[in-house]
Amino acid sequence: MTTTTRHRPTRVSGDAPQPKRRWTARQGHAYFIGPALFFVLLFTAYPALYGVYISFTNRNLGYSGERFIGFDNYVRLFNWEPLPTVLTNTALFVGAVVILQLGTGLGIALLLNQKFFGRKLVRSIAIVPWIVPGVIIAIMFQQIFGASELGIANAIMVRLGFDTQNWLADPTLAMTIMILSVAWRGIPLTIILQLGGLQTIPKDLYEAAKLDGAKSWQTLWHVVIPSLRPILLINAIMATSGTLNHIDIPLTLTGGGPARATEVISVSLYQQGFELLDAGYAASIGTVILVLNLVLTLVYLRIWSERRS
Amino acid sequence: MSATVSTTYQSPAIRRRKARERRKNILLYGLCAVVLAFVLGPLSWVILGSLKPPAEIFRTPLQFLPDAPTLQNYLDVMQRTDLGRYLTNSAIVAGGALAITLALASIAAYGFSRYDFRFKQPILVGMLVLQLMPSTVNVVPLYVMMNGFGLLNTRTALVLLYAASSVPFAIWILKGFFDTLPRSLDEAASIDGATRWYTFVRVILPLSLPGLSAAAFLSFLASWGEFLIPLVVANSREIAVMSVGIYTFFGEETAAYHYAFSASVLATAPAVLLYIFAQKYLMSGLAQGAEKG
Repeated sequence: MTTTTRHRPTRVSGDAPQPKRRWTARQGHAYFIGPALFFVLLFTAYPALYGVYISFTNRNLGYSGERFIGFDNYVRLFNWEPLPTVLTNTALFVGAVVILQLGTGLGIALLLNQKFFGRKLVRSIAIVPWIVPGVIIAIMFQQIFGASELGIANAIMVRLGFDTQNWLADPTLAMTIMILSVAWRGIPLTIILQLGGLQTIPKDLYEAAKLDGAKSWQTLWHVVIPSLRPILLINAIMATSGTLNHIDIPLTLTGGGPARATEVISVSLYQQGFELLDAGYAASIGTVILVLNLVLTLVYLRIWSERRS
Repeated sequence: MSATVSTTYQSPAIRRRKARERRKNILLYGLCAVVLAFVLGPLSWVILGSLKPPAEIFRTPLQFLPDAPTLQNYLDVMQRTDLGRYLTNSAIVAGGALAITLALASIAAYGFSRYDFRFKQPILVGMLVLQLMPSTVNVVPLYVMMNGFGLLNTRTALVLLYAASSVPFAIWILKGFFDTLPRSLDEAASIDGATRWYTFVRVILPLSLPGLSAAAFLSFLASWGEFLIPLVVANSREIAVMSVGIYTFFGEETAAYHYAFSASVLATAPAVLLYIFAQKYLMSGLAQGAEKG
């Protein structure tokens, strides 16, 4: 910001020895940014720290009062029998959604970056899943994959001559449907971000590649993807953290069932904290989720900086 | 386009190029059709279902299109369930959060855009990191906090929490927008004797409608469908917002397809309508915010 003033040439005439100061002030900004900063810190940063504190207590939502119990909640959590299942489910869920979301979304963004008649309309429609509330998406896929022949999926199966499926009662099918419905909702975010990224690639790069005789897939691999890398990284971070913390669809669609087959860690947190009212224990799960978020973000940044050098 | 230039004779090279373009177009439109089917397929199942009389919904073999389309389901779901109240609650909460978000974020964004100060960049980035702070991590402490404030089962709690989660990205969008407004505007106002505050309210804000619209839409969207926080903090039947109402009280009777379909459409419609209006500003508003970031 201030560097621009330094490089501005000073006038030679004596009446203006100093370069004209830009229209920025140094005092008074606190009145402008203070309220927003306080508000955001109070409801996001403070709770995060407070949550870590609660995780060291035996607070229960069923009765008042709490006692400091050190790492007891964490010891309990790491000995919790379903933990390996929940973590495996979470890893599978997050991994599959992020890959689907980034791959499909990038493909659609590349398609919608082409010039053709009706492109604007297709773009607008492709974004729509992003504005459908998560609970509604879950209900929608619940109806589509209903167990009886009243669900369209089974109606199609019957028409094609297959048996009907009890979709959401089958562990593998339920997980697949959950992954697909969460990705269905997340793909538009990738489309928006990557279309934005594609706009920033200078036209010269395409032309240079063309002059060098590059085929279109070569241009894609050697020009487009490398140019998108920063925004792909942001996208990957957002998608990973968004999916890891996502709860609307898992809770509404399957509620973790059948028999924990689709229970991801956010669902465990909700059930422990607000169905079993064990707030301290739920807070320790929350702290684990927070740490997972931080670690994954650092891993992404690490991968990125390694690739770049 | 080239028709005006080319004569009746077309060289083999041109003909080959045209054939290639036609093949490319077929591929493009084919892929677009797949994308549209993927997006609109599930949605149309719900919309068409909402138009079917219950007798058709519960009839096998299933039909995709309604035989006798009717709006009866919509009337029924509004009259016989509490959906109307849930939607009203959602609108109140999302609207309140939007108002607070725009007020706080635009003031802060002006500060970030027009002042230079120490730690400006770290504070901006820090805000975005806080934005990523997931509600799952914070839901237990937020419940305890709201209990302490005596705000459990109030719309106020939701307004405050939603505003807090919308303010950071609204600041980014609005700062990006304010940065594009020339500072000569501020200078001119200052020469005329206007205070900073006056300049912001009377000069900058009226020019910022596109940025404000984009921020307003995103804030509304974030609040409208949000689920976990109200499920925990405000889940009484009176206060329940749309997502909680539909999850808690429709989940009980999963066989009520005819209600589920029409309720889903009614719950999504406000967001879609706003999207249609905000779209124009959305792309430019987002793009400017992203370029600065």
